[in-house]
Amino acid sequence: MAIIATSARILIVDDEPMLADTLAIIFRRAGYDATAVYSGEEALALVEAQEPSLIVSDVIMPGLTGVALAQKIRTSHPNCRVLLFSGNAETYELVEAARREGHAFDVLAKPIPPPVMLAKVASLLEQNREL
Amino acid sequence: MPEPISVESNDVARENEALRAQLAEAQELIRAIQSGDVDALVVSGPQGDQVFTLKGAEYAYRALVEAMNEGAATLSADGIVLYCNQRLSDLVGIPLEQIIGSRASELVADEAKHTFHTLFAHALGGDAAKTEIELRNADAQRIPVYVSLREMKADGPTSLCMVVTDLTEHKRRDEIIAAGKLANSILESAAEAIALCDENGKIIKINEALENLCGFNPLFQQFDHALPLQVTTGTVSGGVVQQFSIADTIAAANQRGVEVGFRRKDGHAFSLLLSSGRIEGSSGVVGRVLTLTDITERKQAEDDLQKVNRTLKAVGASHKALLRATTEKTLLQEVCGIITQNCGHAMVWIGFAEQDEPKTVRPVAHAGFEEEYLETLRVTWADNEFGRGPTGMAIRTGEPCVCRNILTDPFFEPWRTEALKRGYASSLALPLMEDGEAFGAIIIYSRKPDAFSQDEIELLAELSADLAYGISTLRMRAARERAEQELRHNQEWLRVTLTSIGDAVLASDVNGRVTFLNPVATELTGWESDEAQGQPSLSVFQIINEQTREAAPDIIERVLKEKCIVALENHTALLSKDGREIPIEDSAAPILDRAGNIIGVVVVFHEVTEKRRAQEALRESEQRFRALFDNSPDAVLLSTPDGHVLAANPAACAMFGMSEADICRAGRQGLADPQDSRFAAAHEERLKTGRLVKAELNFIRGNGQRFTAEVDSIILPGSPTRTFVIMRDLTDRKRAEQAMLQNEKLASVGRMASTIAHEINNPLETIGHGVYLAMTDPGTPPEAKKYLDMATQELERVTHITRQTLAFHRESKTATLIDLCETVDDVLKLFGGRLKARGISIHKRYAGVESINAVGGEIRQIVSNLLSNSMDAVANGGRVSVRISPSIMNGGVSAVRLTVADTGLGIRPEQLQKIFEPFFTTKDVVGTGLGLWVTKQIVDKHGATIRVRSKPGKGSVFSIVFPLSQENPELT
Repeated sequence: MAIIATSARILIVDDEPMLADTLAIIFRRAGYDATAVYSGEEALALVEAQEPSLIVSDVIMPGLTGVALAQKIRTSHPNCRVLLFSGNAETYELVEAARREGHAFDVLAKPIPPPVMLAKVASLLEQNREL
Repeated sequence: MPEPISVESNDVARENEALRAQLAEAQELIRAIQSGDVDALVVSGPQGDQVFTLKGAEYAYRALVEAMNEGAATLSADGIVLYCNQRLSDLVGIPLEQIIGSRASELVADEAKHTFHTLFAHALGGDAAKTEIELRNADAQRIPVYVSLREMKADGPTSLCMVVTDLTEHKRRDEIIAAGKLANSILESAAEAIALCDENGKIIKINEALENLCGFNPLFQQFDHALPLQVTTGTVSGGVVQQFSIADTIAAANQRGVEVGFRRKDGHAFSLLLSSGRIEGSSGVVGRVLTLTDITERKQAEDDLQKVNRTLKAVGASHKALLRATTEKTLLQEVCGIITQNCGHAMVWIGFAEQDEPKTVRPVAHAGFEEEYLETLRVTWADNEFGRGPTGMAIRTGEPCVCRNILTDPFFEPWRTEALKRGYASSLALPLMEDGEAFGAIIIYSRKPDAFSQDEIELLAELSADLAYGISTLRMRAARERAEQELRHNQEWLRVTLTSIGDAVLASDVNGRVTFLNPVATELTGWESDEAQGQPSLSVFQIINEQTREAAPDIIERVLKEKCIVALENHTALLSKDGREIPIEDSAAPILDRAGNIIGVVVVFHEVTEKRRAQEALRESEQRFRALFDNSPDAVLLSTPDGHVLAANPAACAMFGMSEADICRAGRQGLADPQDSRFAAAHEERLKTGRLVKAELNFIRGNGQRFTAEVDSIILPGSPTRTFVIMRDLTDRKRAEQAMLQNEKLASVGRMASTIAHEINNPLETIGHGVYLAMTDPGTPPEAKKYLDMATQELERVTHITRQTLAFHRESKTATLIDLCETVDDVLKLFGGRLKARGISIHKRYAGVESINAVGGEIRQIVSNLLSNSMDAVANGGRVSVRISPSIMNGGVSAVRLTVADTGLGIRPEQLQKIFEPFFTTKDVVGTGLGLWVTKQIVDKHGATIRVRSKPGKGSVFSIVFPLSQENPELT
């Protein structure tokens, strides 16, 4: 497992609290400063205060969807990376629509084995630092 | 002209030259003596060599002068002869004593005196001179001489030396030479070939024309050998050919214009005109001169003309033959004879073009030398080897066709050997034409190559045209006779038929007047035939409607008006002359002439009774029923209510796979499925209501197979002992229904599976988190970790199943124009790591294709499914090919083909049918059995088609064809 030298801040968004919480624990155990929230709106509110390096968000959620959240974040906090993950096919529609508006996002399909998720996050944060 | 000239003229010329040289020598000698260049000289003569010394020796000079063969004299300056030798005296025939002392000019002929004086004066002036003049002898005869005068430079008075050479002999010889030259040049320039033979017939002189004629130089050869000439005596056709003999001719009288033939060694034949004359010498005949004039061309022209004349005669003769001929065979034979006899051709035959498969030309007549040639022929008019000779060509083209030389014509090959055997050298085929088509040909053979001149061909063509016309006429005449005979025969036949048939026949003319009654008609109408003739048909053939008692419509009038066959109305009765009322039926028809004009009406009728009518009706109804029964697509059984089958139609036989007899034997007991309990109920219903509608019952076929049929059955209302059973085989329909049901089941199972997959993704993710956390928790005992490992593995399997099922983007309905190549490349990128890890090589081949209208995610899924199947199928280090190329779908729609092929395990044939069914998998652990099912669903949705070819152990090829332009309504 990769050893994270600096404690990057990660915000986890999923309308299933158990999912979000367990993922936060996994991130924290991996050495990240991870916080879980359960809606897009909550996440948006927290971004201002925490300024995370990365947001890992579900896509289909009541209220603000992951794609909408990502688009907003990308405008307001260009340094914050967004990783979407979804278990639902409707995701495609949203992601495709965003892509047409010029916003391309990576979407991981649930379920994602935690080691895979951790590797992906590590690589994204690595890129971020290089930038 | 002296005759034997040329032989001698050469010798004469030689002698002449010698004389001139001798004279010159003498003059030179005299000059030398005079000028003192010579002191002595030796003169050779009959007395041996004599030596003269000249130094002032008068005697010596004299002796010399005397010894000369020339006349010589010494003249004084005034022309007096001082001295003269004997030779000069002899020459002029005047004694020496007389000459000496006389004037030299006395010796000269009067006409030459002036010349002599001039010569003398010149010589006196120191200018030596010489000339030819004539002297005069004692008899006043002239003697041509050559005179030379020169001044003598001696002591004392001036004197002149005169030398006289006798030219009499020279002159004569010159003349001979001139004549010889003339003869030579005449000989050389003559166009005629000329040969001179000696008395033994050997050629001793020729000219160029003769050498050309021979083709070689025949000089000093025996004439007969060098030029073997043939003399023909008598007429052309009956002539006797003899060999010319020079020996017999040599002493014969001169001949003029004898026609001879000559064949040169190279085969070229000449006609020549021979003239010859004796050459006589003093001792008699010494040879013969022969002149040959080439008249080949003239002769050819004459021959041609003669042939044309003969051909003309043949045309005339054949005209007569045409007029005389009564049968085709004699005509053909006669014409063949005429052509051979009049035209002198070797053989003539006539062949007719048969309309059979090999297009044979059948010989029908011939004349002349034949000897089974025709039997060896095998001539056709087909466009093949045997039809490209003159005969076949003439028939095919309708034009005369000539074979100029049978020996060399390549098209004559099939018949050459036989033709040459009989001495045929050329042939001509003339088509026999009728209405622009050749129906045969006349073929003429000649013993000479290129025997047919254009004039002759034209005349013979005319003859063949006449012959063709004659044949047509004869055939027409024969056909007319046959037709007349047939007509007579038919008339007789008709008369007999009409009088003997059982029906009554009445005929009328166009005015409705009776022209004919047959015996039955006279019996029914009561009119005698004679009596009825010319009567209005209505009074002879009175008919009424039996029921209304009114006159029935005039059937004859109707036929005349409608010009078609008219049947009598029902219930018609004939009122006979004697008052009987006879029910009749039948019809009337127009009588038409050849041009289709109505020339009368014939009415055919017979007596009918009611019973007969009923029988007719029944038979008709039965026929109708039978037709219906036989042709019904449904199986029909005619049976009794208690289950006996009386008849089965062809459809029933086909349904049961049994013959009608077998079905009847089996009966209902043997046909019905004994396990089907519905029969009893059906039976009951039919007994109660008299009919059974659309009952489904099970039956058993001849081969024991069970099947369900829909049955309609009725008990016939009029006859309660008969039932009709109509059956329709439901096997196919049942099968179709079952298949549909199965499809629907499969579809709903698939839908459910994918819904479930969606729903369990989030719980799976959470479980994954839990397991991971437990795994990575330092407090977890090692044994628990083992179980967690197991859970992780199983989780991975569930994940794989949902991925396969889910079609992550499956529910997306948005189709866009996507680049298939790009899409495939995307997927390949995703698979890159795994492919590399397993050492699988990917071979891509993309041809330029247009974008397809499709849902990108779904296409990605298809490609993923096919690729992962291929990866599973190939062993490590295998090979997977991906191809994209333009294609055409059914109905000509432009399309794009995607092919994924692997070198893997392949699919067994029995599995191949099931691979697109859901939950069918050949991969025990990793397979979900959904990949290809999903793929098929997506393919169908896109209006595409998917095909698979596979060979166990070799690999599989999946190819999907996407339509290009077609907008899929479900997609848009």
